[in-house]
Amino acid sequence: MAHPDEEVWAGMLRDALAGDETRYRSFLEAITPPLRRLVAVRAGGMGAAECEDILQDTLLAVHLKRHTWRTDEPIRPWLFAIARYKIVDAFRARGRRVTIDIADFAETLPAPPEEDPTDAGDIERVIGHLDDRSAKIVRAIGIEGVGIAETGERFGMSEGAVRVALHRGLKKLAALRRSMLE
Amino acid sequence: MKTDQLIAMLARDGAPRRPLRDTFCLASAAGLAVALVVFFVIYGFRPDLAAASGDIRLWVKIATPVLLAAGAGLAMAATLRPESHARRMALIAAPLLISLAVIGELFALPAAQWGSALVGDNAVKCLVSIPLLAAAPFIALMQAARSGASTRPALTGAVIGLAAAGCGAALYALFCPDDSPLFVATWYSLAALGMAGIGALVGQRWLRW
Repeated sequence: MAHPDEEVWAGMLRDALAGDETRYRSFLEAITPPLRRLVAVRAGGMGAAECEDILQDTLLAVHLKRHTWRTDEPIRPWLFAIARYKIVDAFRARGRRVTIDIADFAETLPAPPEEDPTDAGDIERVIGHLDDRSAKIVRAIGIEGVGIAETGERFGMSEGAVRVALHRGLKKLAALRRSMLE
Repeated sequence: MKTDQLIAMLARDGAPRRPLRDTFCLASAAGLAVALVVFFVIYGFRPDLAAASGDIRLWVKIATPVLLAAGAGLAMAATLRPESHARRMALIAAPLLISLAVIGELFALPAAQWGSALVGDNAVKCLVSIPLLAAAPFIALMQAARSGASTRPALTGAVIGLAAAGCGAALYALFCPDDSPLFVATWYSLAALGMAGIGALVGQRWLRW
């Protein structure tokens, strides 16, 4: 008996691969909570902020590799294989960094302000390494939430040019994240 | 950036993407086309090809790299999806065929001629030419594999090296005058293993994602 998510997710991604952006957004929203749980189970020791970074890297990878899912194959093994790959990457990178458990200093540090636990810093950090135009477009669409058409008007570009620049920017972001982890 | 913001941004880049299979068909066609041009410009068919076609050795020499290219191509395709397992069995056909041919050759040839059949006339040329003819398929497949999602980049790179070597060797077999399976098993294999090694090194760096 297939997992109940299986057919729902497969249907959404099938439509998404045909270019339906609304269904694609639903797909990404649907897979995010289970992926977040998976990352927490496998990498919970790293801390919440780092887990959210891994989740975001996973979503970016799912996005850029979505065409590697064969529409007649089960979707969950495909999805979780991508997540595992990203978790392993994070562990490999962490092996080469000294991490200090902040809990050891809890009493001497002032209480941090309440932060949104889904706000992760690493992707935002690498946006600064994009070329100027890509960075502007990624910031407008990603952080301000401006639409494609409006972004085009703002920067005097056609919608097609904005789409191409966004796609290239996302690919570059993933590459920069990877080199950050190496 | 919040995860919701990231999702909204990703959804806006939702244009349909080219399926992996199409990417590979294009890459294979382009790689083979360039390899054919290289073959006809630098090498060309050996003059006695028609005369040699009566000898089963020639057919083994051509079939082995063709099987290698096909098997390695299948193995490569399997590694490009993140959830799939390597299909090592696909790689077994070419070594099996050439091993049987070597055994047959050892029976067919008097022991005194084994050495000269193995060394042949063009060992160095073979070692240089197979990678040269394999270069275009290698680059094309490697570039195409970047759009895949191999969780074992070095393995994928190695089988790309083997697939490209199979293409290069199948072409070179039409030029090369050394037909003995002893020669093919030694020098063709050495060239293929070299390509696999280069592929593993390149894949390790290039196919990460």
